[in-house]
Amino acid sequence: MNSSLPSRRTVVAAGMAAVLTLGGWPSAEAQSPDAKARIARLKPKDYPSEPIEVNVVYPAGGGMDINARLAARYFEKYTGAQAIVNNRTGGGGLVGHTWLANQAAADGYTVAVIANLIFADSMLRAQGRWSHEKLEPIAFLNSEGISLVVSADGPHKDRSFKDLVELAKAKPGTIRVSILPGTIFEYLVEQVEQVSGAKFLKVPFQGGAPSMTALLGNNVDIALGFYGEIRSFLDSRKLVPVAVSSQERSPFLAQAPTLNESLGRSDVVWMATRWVAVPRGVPADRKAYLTAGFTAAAQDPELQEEFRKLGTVGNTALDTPEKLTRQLGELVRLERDFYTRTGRLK
Amino acid sequence: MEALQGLLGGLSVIMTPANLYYCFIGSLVGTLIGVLPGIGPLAALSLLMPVTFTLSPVASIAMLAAMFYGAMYGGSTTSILVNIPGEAASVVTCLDGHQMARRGRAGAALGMAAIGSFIAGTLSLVALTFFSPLLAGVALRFGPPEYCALMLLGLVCTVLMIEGSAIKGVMMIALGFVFASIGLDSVNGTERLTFGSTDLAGGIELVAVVIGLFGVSEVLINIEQLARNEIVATRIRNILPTVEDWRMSWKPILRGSGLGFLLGVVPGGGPVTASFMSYALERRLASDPGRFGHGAIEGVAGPESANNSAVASGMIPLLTLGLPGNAVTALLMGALVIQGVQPGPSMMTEHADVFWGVIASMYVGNVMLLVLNLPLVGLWVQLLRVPYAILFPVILLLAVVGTYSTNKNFFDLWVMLAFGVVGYVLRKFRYEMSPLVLALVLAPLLEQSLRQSLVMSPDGFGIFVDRPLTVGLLALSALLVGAVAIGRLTRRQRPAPLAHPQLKET
Amino acid sequence: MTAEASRATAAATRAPFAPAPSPASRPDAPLPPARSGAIRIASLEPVLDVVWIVVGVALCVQAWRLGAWSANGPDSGFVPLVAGALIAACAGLLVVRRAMAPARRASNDPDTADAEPFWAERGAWARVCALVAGLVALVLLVRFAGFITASALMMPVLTRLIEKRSWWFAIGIGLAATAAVHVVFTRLLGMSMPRGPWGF
Repeated sequence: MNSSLPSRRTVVAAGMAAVLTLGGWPSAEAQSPDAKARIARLKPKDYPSEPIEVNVVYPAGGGMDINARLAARYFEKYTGAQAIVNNRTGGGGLVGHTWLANQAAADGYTVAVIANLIFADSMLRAQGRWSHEKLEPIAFLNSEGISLVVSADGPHKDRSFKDLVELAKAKPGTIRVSILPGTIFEYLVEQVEQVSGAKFLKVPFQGGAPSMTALLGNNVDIALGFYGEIRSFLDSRKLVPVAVSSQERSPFLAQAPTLNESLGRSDVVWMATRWVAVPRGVPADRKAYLTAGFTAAAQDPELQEEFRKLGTVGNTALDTPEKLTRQLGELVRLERDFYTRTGRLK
Repeated sequence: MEALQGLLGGLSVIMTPANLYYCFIGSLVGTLIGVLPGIGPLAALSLLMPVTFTLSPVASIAMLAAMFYGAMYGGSTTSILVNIPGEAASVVTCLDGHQMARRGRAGAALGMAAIGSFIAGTLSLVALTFFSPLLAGVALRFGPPEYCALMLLGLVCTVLMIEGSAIKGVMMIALGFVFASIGLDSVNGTERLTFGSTDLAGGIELVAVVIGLFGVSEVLINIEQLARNEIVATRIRNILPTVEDWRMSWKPILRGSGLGFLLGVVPGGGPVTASFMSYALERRLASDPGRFGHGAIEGVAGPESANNSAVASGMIPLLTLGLPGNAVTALLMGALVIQGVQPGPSMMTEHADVFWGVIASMYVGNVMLLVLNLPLVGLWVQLLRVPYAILFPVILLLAVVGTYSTNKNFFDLWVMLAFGVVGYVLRKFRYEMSPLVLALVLAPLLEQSLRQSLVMSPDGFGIFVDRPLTVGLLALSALLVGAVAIGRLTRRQRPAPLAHPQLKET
Repeated sequence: MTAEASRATAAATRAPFAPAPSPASRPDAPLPPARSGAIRIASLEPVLDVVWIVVGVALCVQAWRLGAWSANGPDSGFVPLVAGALIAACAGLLVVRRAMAPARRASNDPDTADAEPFWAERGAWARVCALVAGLVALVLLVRFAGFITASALMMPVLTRLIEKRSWWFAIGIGLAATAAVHVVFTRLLGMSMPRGPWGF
């Protein structure tokens, strides 16, 4: 096992603590040997006879990919089946989402780790060719908010997000913010502008890494990214977080207020949520097996600790597909509202 | 010196049997991937990444990195032997490398590619060892305007690379820009030229284009003729480069190392651009550029050195800043993060053993690859004796498998076929393929950075003259264009060629 | 050496990406005798130029619909517009150049291709078409019948298309190649190749 991780006991203890504070009581299924036995009983005959393909629609090495590989690893631990991650990239996720919705076989050998970014693709870019409803969620993985950061050497290093919004109101178009066009990064900034009357200069980038480069080189004033992308810079004090887009303050960035706090609102919440899904129509017994395997993986305290290190938050309360579907339905409703209000969706 | 201390520490980390073993495996697999057309380092690394979960961080990254630069060593093999590039970064090696093979000099070409790669890789690593922090600062200075100017320089080099008809070459460059814009607009996300197809919305995969344009079309062109058995009927001379070869190659190797190093540090540059620009540079600097395209060894030494150098320097933004410059380094970053090592400014202090261990492993890996590849030259050269009847079917099969393996996407296979036919037709009409490929590589970043710069800029195009680095790069482009223009003008002064005596029409 | 064989050797040794040294660039070399019935490159080029012009104009139209300029500078359609215009313009230039050159092409102009026949050998076009068809079949079969079936079926066909040796040879090479590729990619590298409806 990896020598740079702390000892198993410490990990489990820390994981339990995190789970208790963040997600509620751990369910009985999280106890490792019981879970393995239960899953073994659910295993259908002659299945799986080949590796299960875990699809990720983003490039290898990125945030989604890392989460997926961790989930796959723990799935393997609980089921003994082989799970291989496959990156189906292209079009900012559109190519992979379309394939999953339209072409993926519902035979139990194809699963996907997807994020709520699929809703935007489904509602705005699919143009009727497919819908996110074609994919059935089976296990929740984690979620995280987006962090807004400024350079520690830049002109805004001592400003709060509130100050920056005021600046953007006073001098519209002078505060440069990095965004990923067509994603929640862009919508987040747009909503902030709407509710505050500020006007930012939105500079498009292709990913978190280029926007961090731009921020460090003083080519933008505020950059948006996930915790995993900024952690190293925070540790070395090159970047300062000014806000987070989640409902509550992030445990890893305690000093950064939420967007709601800075703006005096309660509706500016943007999170990336990740879960495991299968194409609709998988035979019930195989689906139950996959559900049990991935749920057990997600509930595993060690995996929770790994997620914690990546800056994401698990939630052991969402331990059945029904609860997950309900939660995601709520997210879809909020997003649809936003798109309708901003005229993107008729 | 601190860097030297760190490096020695790293060497002590890497010099364990386990770590050396994984470094060797990586080199071996990397060479294999490079040799096989179609399958590239990205596909292979993502396949083998899970293997590294149970290894230590140093062993994991040592193995994965060795696969990356190992592929640069192996990529030239099929380029030289059968005119089919193993990687996008080995496309230019086809131009002169294969011509050398046809003249019985495959051994010299392969040997020089391996040795040049080693020298460049090692030099690049030395610079990395001592100048990382400084270079990291330079990488940060590159914002959208600088990228735009750099890509413009690349475009100028592309135009300079055109050998035959200038008009046809420009058309190929324009066509490259067209193919690059198929997909989603990177700046506002709208679909461009996709005609409702989601497959096209994902853009056109570079690997499929390269394999189609150079691989499939090569086979199509060759089967036109019935009367050919082997690629080289004449005796194969000289397994290794001669003294004369060295005399001509040592400067291109050094220049390629330097150029590749600089282009690798900048996120968005990389081995492909480096190899093309090195080729253009060598051709421009040669005293008799007419030799290029007919077996000039500089055309192999320079680009092969440049692509290896770029791989090494590409590690700088990754390790020192935590900023991956291309898809492969992004994957390496993921591998590090999963191991619990966060690359970035704190890595040198928090995980010094991993930091220096990885760098030391690259020195070791380069030596291993040289030792691996040089004796293989003799083996590869024998491949030239294999009849087309056996070689080409295998190559076609490998092309199909390799292209599919990149994205597991059937659409890529259709792209490969389409470009195979297009490449065949265009080559018959004497259009060059290299400018198309280079334009395809440069266009996305050129367009994106141009539009980003204009969005960022308070005064429109003024942003390009406000920033010193941008001005410097633009001046360089202007200088190159000027030098070529002057060259063309002075050539016009020479007397026009004699008109032909009228020959009787048969 | 017959004219045909010498042409074959010349074709085999010329640089792949540079245009062939047209007979006109070797001023003293006699032009090759035209093979009776052979289509010359020079006669097909106008067709290609027309294609280019059509493609260029179509691109410009598409690009215009996307929008070429916005408040922030170039918009989505800018690059396709410029590229399309460039393609159409260059093709036009080629047409003009060809019209201006004398019928016997005395200049060293690489823009106007030579009188060399498009397909130097008899039946070349049939072989090329057959190979393309074979490759299309291979890709279709890989998609719907799985890699192993597709390769085992099509590789012998392709081998025989590439060079007409005995069917035993073709089948042998085809099966050997299939097995080797399967072992290297699936076993060694751990890649999963597409499977057919029958499981492999």
